[in-house]
Amino acid sequence: MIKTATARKFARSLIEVIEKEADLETIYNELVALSDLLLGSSESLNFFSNPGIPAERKESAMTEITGKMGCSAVTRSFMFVLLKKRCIGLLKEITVQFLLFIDDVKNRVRGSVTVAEPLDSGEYALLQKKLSDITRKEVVVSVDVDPSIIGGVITKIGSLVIDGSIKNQIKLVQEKLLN
Amino acid sequence: MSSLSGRRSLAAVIAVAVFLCFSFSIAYAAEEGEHAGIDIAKEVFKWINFLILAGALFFILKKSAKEFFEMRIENIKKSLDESRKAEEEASVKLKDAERKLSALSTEIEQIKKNTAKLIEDEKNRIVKESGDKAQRIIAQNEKNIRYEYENSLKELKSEMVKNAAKMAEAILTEKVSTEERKRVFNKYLSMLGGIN
Repeated sequence: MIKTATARKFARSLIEVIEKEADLETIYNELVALSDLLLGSSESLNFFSNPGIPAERKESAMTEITGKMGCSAVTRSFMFVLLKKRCIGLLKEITVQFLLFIDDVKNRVRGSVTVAEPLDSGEYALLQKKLSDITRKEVVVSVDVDPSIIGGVITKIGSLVIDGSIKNQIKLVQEKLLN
Repeated sequence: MSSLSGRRSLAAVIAVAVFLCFSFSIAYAAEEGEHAGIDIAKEVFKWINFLILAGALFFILKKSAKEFFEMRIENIKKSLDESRKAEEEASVKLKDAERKLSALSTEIEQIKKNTAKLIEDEKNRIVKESGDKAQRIIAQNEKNIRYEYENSLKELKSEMVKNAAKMAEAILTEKVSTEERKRVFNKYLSMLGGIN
């Protein structure tokens, strides 16, 4: 919980220094790539987290990494701040929180749909459009396949749940019969 | 007091009688002892003595005897009165007892009737209470049976519905084709359109 709150503070401070909205996605992608790289292996995580290693060496390594990855100046500066604050370990959580801020800025929501069989691109687009119409926001949905729902779709966007699965229909009929 | 004076008079009469008997026996003994011929002077003397004695006795005993007999009469009258009174009282008591006896038999009859009525009432009450209790027990039992029946029916229904739902799920999982799934998907989209 404290970790999330701290990550949220870092994400908010980062988004406040970004001037162009167009840079948001770029910076997010850079953060995701850096997170995968730095936190993906225990060696790199230990290197940047170890207080025994001089800060100069860590800064030097960070400069080299961000340079080779072609990161923007904002991302580089942010990584140095994290290094100085010894919060590199929070990078993944910061990325998640940063994405939520981007979604908010871009009037976008994220949700998930559960289907019995995978959706084709046309179905996905239709569903996404319908959900966007309902929420009046751009909707980004992740699709989960669960054959146990038999058919239909279960959509979850935040606290909104629209269950149109055949399994749920059977459950409703069952409840109706029992009452 | 009168009883005491009566006893005195009686004692005096007895004393005179004893004295007379004693005198006659002496005279008789004297007569036997002499075995002589009849002496007229003596005989007259005897009679004079006798008359004097009798007169003296009459004079002496007249008052006492009169008193005695009067008292005796009085006592007898009193006794008779008392006896009559006692008889009357006994008669009254007898009548009272007879009346009471008669009333008692009536009372006994009444008590018997009352007791019979009480017994009948009690019997009716017990029968009524038993009937009511039996009705209540029957009603409660019917209620319990109905509750158990409804509960069992509900459980059975629940079990049947659950099984039916499981079977429906199994059948639909097996039978629903991709086309049908797409149709359900499109219906879902229509429903989302309705929400909007």
